[in-house]
Amino acid sequence: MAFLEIQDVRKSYVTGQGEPFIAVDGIDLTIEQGEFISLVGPSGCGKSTLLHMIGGFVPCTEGAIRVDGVAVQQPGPDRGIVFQHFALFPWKTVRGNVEYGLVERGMPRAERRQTAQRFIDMVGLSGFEDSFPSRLSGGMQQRVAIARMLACEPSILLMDEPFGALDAQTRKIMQEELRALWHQFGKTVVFVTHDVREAVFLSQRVVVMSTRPGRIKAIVETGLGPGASRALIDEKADKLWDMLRDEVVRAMAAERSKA
Amino acid sequence: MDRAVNVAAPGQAFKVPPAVFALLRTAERSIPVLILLAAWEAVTRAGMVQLFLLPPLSQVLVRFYADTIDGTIPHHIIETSVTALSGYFLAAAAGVIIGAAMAISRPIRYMVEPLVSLAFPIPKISFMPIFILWFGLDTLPKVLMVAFNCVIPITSATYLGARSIDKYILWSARSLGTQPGRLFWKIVMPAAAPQVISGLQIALPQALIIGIVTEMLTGGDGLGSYMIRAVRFSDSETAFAGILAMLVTGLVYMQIATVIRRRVLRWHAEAAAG
Ligand SMILES: Nc1ncnc2c1ncn2[C@@H]1O[C@H](COP(=O)(O)OP(=O)(O)O)[C@@H](O)[C@H]1O
Ligand SMILES: [Mg+2]
Repeated sequence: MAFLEIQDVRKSYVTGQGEPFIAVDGIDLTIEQGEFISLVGPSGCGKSTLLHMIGGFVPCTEGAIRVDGVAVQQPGPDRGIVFQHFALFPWKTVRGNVEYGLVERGMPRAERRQTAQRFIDMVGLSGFEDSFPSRLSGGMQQRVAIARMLACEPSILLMDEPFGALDAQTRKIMQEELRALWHQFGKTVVFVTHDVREAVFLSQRVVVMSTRPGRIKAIVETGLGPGASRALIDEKADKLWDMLRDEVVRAMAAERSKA
Repeated sequence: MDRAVNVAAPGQAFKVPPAVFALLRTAERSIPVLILLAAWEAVTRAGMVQLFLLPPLSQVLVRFYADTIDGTIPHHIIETSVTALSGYFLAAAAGVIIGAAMAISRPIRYMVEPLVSLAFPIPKISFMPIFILWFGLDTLPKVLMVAFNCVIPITSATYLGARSIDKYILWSARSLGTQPGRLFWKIVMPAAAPQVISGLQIALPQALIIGIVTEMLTGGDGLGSYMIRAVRFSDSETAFAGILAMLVTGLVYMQIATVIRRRVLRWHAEAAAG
């Protein structure tokens, strides 16, 4: 039995016109414990939807998602998530944000402080414990979101285009740090991105999705070790991009005909 | 070398402490007011208006000073403030509770929302005769009138603030272990704080206005009746001194409100910048 099982999942929404709209369909995927897997696909193909279903924020219309054999019913601290736009608690300081999950778990104050500090240090935010998110740059807010998630020690990390809003340099550094973190903790990661190079650099497998409805088009093993050369990564990324290109073009054409 | 010093020197020479700078800014911004006041004094001194209708500013200031020293104006300011602030805090408590209840409960929303929409545009003060009929001429109808007026903007600000919460913030809290029943007080209300406080800020000057108007209508003590009584005795200097007292009270209220807002919303980008 795989650690994270996604079994023939479909999600449909009812549109404003009252017709059902199928966001994702027939998603079958099993993910092993400790695996880093990425989802890539044109925008609107249902990457976020799938992540939200794993998180338990939205129910599947059909099919089932199981973690360790238990069906996902609702959100829980076993599945941490970082949203694309951080979704920090703006009225709490960096420390308050990172401690939040620990407070909810009922951890005593002193221990909580210490634990939060460890994760704040880990993401390189020492010295900013008492800052409010509104005072931090996008990259720093993203680190807070990651520290907040990690502090709860989830067994699965769900990340929705976490570096999408960052500038190119910050993004590169965050990618390297995330990979180092993953090597250190060996957690299961489901990572959504529209950047194929990022997907190849970080993950062991890349799921390519097609749109309308969102389906799995291919699953690609990257097979790259931590010491992979830049050339190798580029080569893999180019191959993946060839696969994705048609999908993106088709999705853009569909957008245009709709507009 | 020389050039560098020269470039730096003017900047150094004009480096004013922020407090002094703020003071200068305030002074600059009060020039139009000062011009108006000077014109007031000039026009009255020149005999261009009937002094009974508009006494000279200097005489108003003399009256204001005298009535402040002998405790008359402070007494009325306190009286008005007790009425206005009692009603205001009543409205604040009720408004936040009703607004929150509307956000949580569909039946309550169904019942209350049309009433709030209906009450929003009407001049609440027009109910004063009814309030006098029901609650007499003492302090009670004034306080309730203030509360009735202020509860509407506070309720609607709280409701709108609580409804406009970002779903991703709620989801974050859920995934960090918060049970659905606790989301409202742990997440929704703190997130709505800027809007709630804006509602409270909008209602504060209204409380003062309504307090004074009710005093004009029912008598008793307070700035409103202080002014109305002066007019009855054809004492226009005192009437204008009352306006001055009102102005001072209003400015103090708003200043306190601004300070509280900055404190409470330290985390807010706009409050932090201001
Ligand atoms: N709550 C919703 N109601 C209706 N349609 C939705 C909802 N959420 C997502 N969708 C639709 O589902 C599709 C997939 O969206 P999403 O998962 O956000 O795609 P992606 O993350 O791959 O860009 C889109 O067409 C989107 O408009
Ligand atoms: Mg998305």
